[in-house]
Amino acid sequence: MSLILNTSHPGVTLQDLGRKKARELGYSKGGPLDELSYRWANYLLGNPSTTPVLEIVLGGLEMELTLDAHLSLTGADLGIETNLGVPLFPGKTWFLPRGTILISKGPRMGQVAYIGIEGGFKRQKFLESVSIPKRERIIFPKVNETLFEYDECSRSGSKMIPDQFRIVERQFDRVPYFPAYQNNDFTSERVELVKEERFDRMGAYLSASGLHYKGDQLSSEPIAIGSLQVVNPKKVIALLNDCQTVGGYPKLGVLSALGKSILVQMKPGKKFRLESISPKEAFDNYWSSLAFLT
Amino acid sequence: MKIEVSQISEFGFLVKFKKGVTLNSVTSLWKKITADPFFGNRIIIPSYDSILIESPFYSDYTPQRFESKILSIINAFQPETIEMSDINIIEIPVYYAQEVGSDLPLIANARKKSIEDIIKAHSEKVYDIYCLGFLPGFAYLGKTDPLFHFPRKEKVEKEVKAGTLAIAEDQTAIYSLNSPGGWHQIGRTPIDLLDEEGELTYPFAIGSQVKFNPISREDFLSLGGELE
Repeated sequence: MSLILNTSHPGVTLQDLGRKKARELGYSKGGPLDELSYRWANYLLGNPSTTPVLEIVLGGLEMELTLDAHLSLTGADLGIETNLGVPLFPGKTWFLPRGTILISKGPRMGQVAYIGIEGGFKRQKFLESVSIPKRERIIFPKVNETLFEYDECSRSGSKMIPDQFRIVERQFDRVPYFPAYQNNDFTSERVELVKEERFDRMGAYLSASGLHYKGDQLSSEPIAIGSLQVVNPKKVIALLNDCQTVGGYPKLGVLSALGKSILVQMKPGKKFRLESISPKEAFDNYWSSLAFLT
Repeated sequence: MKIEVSQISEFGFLVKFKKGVTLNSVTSLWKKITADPFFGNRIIIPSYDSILIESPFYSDYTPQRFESKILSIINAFQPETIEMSDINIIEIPVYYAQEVGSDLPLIANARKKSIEDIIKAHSEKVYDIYCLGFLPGFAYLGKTDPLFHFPRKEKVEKEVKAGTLAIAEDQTAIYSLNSPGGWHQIGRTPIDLLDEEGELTYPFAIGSQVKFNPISREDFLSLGGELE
């Protein structure tokens, strides 16, 4: 039995923590854009942290439960409503009977939501992961993108994310990143950035007021996820989980894992500055933000 | 030779050759790193002058330990000359023709050569694999004869067919998937570069070489090639 997606919207995908060994072959990593919200989706249900969950970028969700289900909803509030007349607010678990239809009406707060299910969604893995970027679906034609198996769940208690961990509801004016790659070859890194409308699993487009690169022409080099690629003085692309693996544009640095979660959840038009952090701080922040979950 | 190591993310380090980089030095360092059991399950992405090493495992990872392992390899590193007999040459059949390589006449005209001369010049050379990226199984090959040194097209084509052989700057490559692309197209292979499990059908890796063997239209079709 299964959960049926009534649309195959490109913003609705199944994600685990992504591929481990395929990037050297040119495959994207995949995995959740907002790793913190993804992990909470599993933690609230008592699932292992690598359990597949549904990721919804901006909207496009229309699905039907064919079995009773214990769900978690984390990350953005995408205006998810049900045919039971109950709106689903993020940050907690819900028990929903079979036959429930869920539809997203559009972002109210944040941009990326996660739906976990007790026991996890089940699907064949390729390259050690259920994540399949849109452009690679042609390689795996047998994968059904609109029907996911899960086990029937019995009713159990509801759990919520504590307030201090709800990053979607907080307003960030600073986004943490590592100065790296060609950072020293830009005339200014303290430029104000604005998140644009254009945003998908490959990248988030950002406007800059003037980032001038004074370095040499580059050979293509390996790209870390979260890299801030400067396409021209007024355009930066934050490269996300389904991005290419090598590229020759100069880069300001790399968003920290927390910085990436903050950025993807920002609404378009939001202004912010980058905040330089050290590798040690970022590593400590990463674990402290997950400490509650482990 | 100067090599710089920097941590660029919580779980990643970039190894950058600052001076005197050659394909041989990147390849031999990449081989040293991948041969070390400590890095057996890590992601290691080599490119023209750098290598990215990432840990996909969180529980047994500390940046300090990771960095010290990388530095211990680099400090002991001496580029080794790779014997020609050790180099794997991958041969790939290609149908060179305007109907699957629309830019062949443009290249021939620009260089004042016949199409046959252009095909001969491209197919008689053996190319080094410098890196993989852009698409799964997309191998950047070089360096091409100056006859083929054309910039990328100003207008990117919406869909270049999988299997298309193309050139840009001093590089050549096969599009492994249908994809937008801005390289000049000169032919097509009938062979799928990826199977249904996502594995590469040819063992592309930095340090290996590729040679393209011209085939006829009949052979292209009989090997499963598609004209559109």
